[in-house]
Amino acid sequence: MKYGMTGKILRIDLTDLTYAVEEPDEYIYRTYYGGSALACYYLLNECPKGTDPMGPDNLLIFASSPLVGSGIPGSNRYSVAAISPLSGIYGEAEAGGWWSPELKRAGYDAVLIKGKAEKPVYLWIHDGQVEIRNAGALWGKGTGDAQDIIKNDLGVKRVSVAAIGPAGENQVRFACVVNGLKHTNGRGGLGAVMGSKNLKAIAVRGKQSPDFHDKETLKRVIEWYANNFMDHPIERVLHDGGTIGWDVTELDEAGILPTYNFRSGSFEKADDICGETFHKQYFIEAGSCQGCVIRCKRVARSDGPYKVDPAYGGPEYETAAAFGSLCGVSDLEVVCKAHELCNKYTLDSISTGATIAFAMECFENGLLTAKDTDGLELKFGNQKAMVECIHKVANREGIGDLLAEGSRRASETIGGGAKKLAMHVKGQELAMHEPRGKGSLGLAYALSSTGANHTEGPHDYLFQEGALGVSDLPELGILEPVPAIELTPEKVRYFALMQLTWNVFNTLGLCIFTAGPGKLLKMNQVAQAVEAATGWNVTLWEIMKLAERTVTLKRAVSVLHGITRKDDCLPDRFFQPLEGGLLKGMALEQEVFEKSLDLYYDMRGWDRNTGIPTAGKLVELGLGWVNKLLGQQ
Amino acid sequence: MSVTFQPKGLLKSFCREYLNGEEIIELNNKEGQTIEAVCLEIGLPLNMISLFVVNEKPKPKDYLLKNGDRVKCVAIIGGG
Ligand code: SF4
Repeated sequence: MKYGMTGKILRIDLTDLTYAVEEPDEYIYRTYYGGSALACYYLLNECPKGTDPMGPDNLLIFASSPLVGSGIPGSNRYSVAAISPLSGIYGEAEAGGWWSPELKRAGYDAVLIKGKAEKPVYLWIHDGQVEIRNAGALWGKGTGDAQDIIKNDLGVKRVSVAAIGPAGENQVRFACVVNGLKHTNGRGGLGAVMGSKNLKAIAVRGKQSPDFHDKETLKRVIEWYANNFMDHPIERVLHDGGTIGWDVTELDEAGILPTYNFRSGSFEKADDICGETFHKQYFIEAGSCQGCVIRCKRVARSDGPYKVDPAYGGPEYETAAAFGSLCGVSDLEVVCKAHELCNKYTLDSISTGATIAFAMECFENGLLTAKDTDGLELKFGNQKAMVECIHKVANREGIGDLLAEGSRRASETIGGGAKKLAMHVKGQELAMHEPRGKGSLGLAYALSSTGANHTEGPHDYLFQEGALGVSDLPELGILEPVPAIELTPEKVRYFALMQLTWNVFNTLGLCIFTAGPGKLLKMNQVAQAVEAATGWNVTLWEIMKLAERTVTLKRAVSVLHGITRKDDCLPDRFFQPLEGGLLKGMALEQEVFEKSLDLYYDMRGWDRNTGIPTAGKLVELGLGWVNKLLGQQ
Repeated sequence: MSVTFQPKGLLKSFCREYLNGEEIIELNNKEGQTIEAVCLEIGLPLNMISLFVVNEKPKPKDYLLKNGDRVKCVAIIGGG
């Protein structure tokens, strides 16, 4: 690799505390680029069916990408991937911040970690050097303390630390990884994989950025973006209000704000937890990721009864809804506190809120009693009980030990109808978007290879007639707007194409808020930026094929680990009428949904009956070698 | 003889001078005009508005306003 990447992959074996450096052929980089596609390549090759997610043979991958560090707004992300302890299939989560560019400056494109250290350790990767250091003094600490101790230990202030807190150490199945205290690889329980390996943190620092091929073009795009983003309505509102500022009130008004464990689409106290209230009462400043002018991050502080520490940033929309409307909690200070605790303990705020909401519904239905909950009156709206539950989950105490297993496993243990109340797909809890009011989002949840995932595809309203995103669709071959709610064949086509654009960003290390349909930087410009970074002759066609390869690789990992078409489903609740809000009475139709899945498999080149990518499709994508792994050909 | 427009959440920032610190914009003599025309007049970006709710019911942007109508304008972006 001459441009864009370091050309080096770092392998760590924690069992014998050794490391090795690999220099993959350029063919590997051009086929898989980085991020999630590169992670899948290694997982398919090295984690056979039956790999225990918490065992030493699970491969934990931190993967950057060629665009990272180029300065293109949003090009600061990385994927963490492994076999997920939450779903048992492909697990992946992305984060921004500074960690990914710093890893490349430290000399590596990705870190692959196997084995299990006998005692807690952390990795110190700096200017090509690698040290595996004792983390005994860090174990049991939250991310803030752990980061401070590491910085002191190394005597380096400007070090970027991706770490786990007690939830990761205790192998909570939805523990996450947090870098810089504010940026989370949230989903899929990858923090628990770190914990299972006795790996507390990875600290990175370097002075040498990889060379980029056409710096002039990159500079032009960066300047153009900086000069124009405030004229783009979406980028402007993201800059002005963050994600917490663009959703709660709006979704509530539209009747699709997940409320009371997805029973209703409207929360009577939505205004108390919305962006405006947040900005009036708890907002202290905006934050950012490396090289991004949007600055959508929010920092919260409170000196009230719950005392919120600004060091951990502030809640995104997902967190506000998960600990707010979903649990029936209307005190925004409590929501901010829940966010802080999640980043300190390293808990995925979506799965944590969703699992507590599930437990609340179980409690209200008598499936859990105060005897099971250590005396907590775990009813919707009981904010004290909710906060107590977060502590208990992170430390696996009492009821927390059951909930730390995630809603699917907890519902199996509770029994007696609890399964119907667990809002998950393939074991991963739904994010805070209501599929009864967003047609293609239901497909995204059902078809994602990681389980319910809201970043698997776009949110439909932006592409209905007259909406801002419509003018961005023709470059993808979509010439008509699509209705927001209905599931039509055209909608399935739209989803299949748009899913590619959202997925490829996880391979390119690019933020979905800065680029793609409906955003300022268009897909053609993304292709040009990749060409400028790498020096390869890159077209939009290549990027879209890379996207298709990414989606198919993820599917292949999950197929290898046991999923079939029958797992591509939604909880029964979504085929029942919504109980409240503007769309009250709205339900998905099972037959229409199944037909949409049929069409999707046809479009994707996956078998309709099994959901497995066909032998021909794999060969067409340059993935013929995967056929053997899947027992095909 | 008036209708009211209520831009929800982030849409408020596009018509602050009409809102003048309030939540709702009260407009006279709009009967017979479309929602679209009034949005353009008060500076609301139509391509960001996903939903118009008139008297608690969704309506299209070419709905003709009647005296006393209460219009909410909602932008749904999603993600995050
Ligand atoms: S838009 Fe927000 S999340 Fe994305 S890179 Fe910029 S600051 Fe980070």
